[in-house]
Amino acid sequence: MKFRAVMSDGINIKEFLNVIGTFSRMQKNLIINVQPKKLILQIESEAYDGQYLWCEIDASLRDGFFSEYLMDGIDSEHNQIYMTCLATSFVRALSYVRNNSVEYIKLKLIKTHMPCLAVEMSATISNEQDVLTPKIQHAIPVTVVPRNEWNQYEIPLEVEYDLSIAMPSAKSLRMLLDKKKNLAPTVTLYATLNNELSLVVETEVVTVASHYRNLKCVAARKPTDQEAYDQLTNLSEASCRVDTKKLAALFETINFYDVIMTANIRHEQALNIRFDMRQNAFVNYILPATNFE
Amino acid sequence: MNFVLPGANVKMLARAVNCFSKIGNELFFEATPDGLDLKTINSTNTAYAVVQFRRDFFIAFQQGKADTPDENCCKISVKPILKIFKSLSTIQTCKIWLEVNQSKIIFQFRCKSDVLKTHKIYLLESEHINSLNLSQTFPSTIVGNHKVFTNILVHLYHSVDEISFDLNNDKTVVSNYVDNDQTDHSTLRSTLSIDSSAFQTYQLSSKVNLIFCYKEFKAVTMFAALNKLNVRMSFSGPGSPLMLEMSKGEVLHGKFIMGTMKPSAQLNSRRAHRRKAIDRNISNRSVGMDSEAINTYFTEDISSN
Repeated sequence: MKFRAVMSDGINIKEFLNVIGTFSRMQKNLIINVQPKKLILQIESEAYDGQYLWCEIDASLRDGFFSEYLMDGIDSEHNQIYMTCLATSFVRALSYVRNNSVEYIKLKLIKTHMPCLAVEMSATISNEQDVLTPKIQHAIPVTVVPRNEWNQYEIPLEVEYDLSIAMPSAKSLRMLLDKKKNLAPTVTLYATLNNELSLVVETEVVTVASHYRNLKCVAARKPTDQEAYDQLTNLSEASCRVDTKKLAALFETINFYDVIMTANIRHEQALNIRFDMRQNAFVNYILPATNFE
Repeated sequence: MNFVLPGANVKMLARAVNCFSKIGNELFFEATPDGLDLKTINSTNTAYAVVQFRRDFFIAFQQGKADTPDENCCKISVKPILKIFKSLSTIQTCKIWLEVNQSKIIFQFRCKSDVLKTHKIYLLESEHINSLNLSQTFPSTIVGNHKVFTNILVHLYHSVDEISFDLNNDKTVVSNYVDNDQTDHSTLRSTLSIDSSAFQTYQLSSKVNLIFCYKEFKAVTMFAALNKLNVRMSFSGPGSPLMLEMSKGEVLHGKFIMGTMKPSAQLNSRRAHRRKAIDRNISNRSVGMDSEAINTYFTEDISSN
């Protein structure tokens, strides 16, 4: 079992810290899945919740996110590694890069008397006459997940969505949801092919609806064969009712540099928000519909 | 005792007080023929700090007329004094004097626009820390610019309890000390390796591994950084105290003595002993802890006549 990855681009490194910081605010444990062509970071989803949050970073290109990437899975049949660690430890290991520039960040799996994910960096500081280069290594204790427990971390990738719509700025949504979460426990999101996204909360006394216009919306369902095509009801509008607090919490904790956000709605069933970052890395969030009053 | 200092030096005094507030809960003032000694000691008796402000630091300096401990020494809680050192930019001069019969120490700031602010702080029951003058000379000493130390500590998180300095001839490896290393599976372990050429002086009598309190060490390096001073770190071996010294010309001299962990203690769990405030008995100190407490037998007792 082996893992070694290097990030040399300053912005990639900071964005990596942003992702881990966001995840650490959502859940205590961070799950790291190392695959031959990508790295996936996840939070533990509670079974009853149905909420999923994961980050997928493409590792196949050497001029992409990772300038170096080598891995060897748990065994030859299953060429992957699943490990868990405390998210705050990872944040602490990386926090130096928030305000300082480093030449590189190296991630490696090491085995001292217990398995650790080592985060190494070299900070170059000029000190009047001398050039100080302390070499830093933070070892985050990790727990390697045995093969028979991997299924608990499966991500729902096969969900088909009806409509896909661009989203307004995260800041605007954060402020809006902050107010809406105090009004009602659920908020309904409506996406229409007229390029409009609406957020509606209903209480006994009042209904508050916010509309965002000029957001490119396309049908997301892809018919695989003629049969499926006939069965498709071409939805011009999709809606989904979700827990307001959870959605508000997501927008309160996310903190990325430049992202393109897209919402995918499966009518009355699920909401998926996809954050596309640079270099083929993206964060995906799924919130299932709530069915209570 | 009675002295006046210019506004520019109030900042330095405030920095010393700030640094001491992170080490101990009480501040000791002592006026000597050479100047003012500010002292503190931490609750577990593993760190002792003294900053000496020499006469040139003051516009006017006067010891008490009788030259008794009563007139020249006092002890106060650190909290009230921290509060008075705010908005320092308007202070032009600061006058400090001791009112023995009313058990108060008075800080009077003359500020811009003829504003006079007077702060009276009640003294705590009189107690005296002897000046700690370790007569032993230390076999090893390293001197570094404050930046070296700050750049090391910036990588450690504030919840670290103890820091370990592994000093070799070619490099120094600094890490956070983890109790129960074999069984602890959650604490982040941070290690920094720094070349010995980063230090201005690096004289080691032998390789040594020193483990001491992080919070106090960080407060001391921050004091050095704010005043832009070089830090001299002198030590002998694990279990023996280490000394940090820094000076600003003839005016300010800081000396911080910290206990280091004895080698045998590292094998046992120390969690039960950590950070318990011990009732302080300043005369005879027996080492009840695994870190060498400051033994005041090594001190000069200046109160004896």
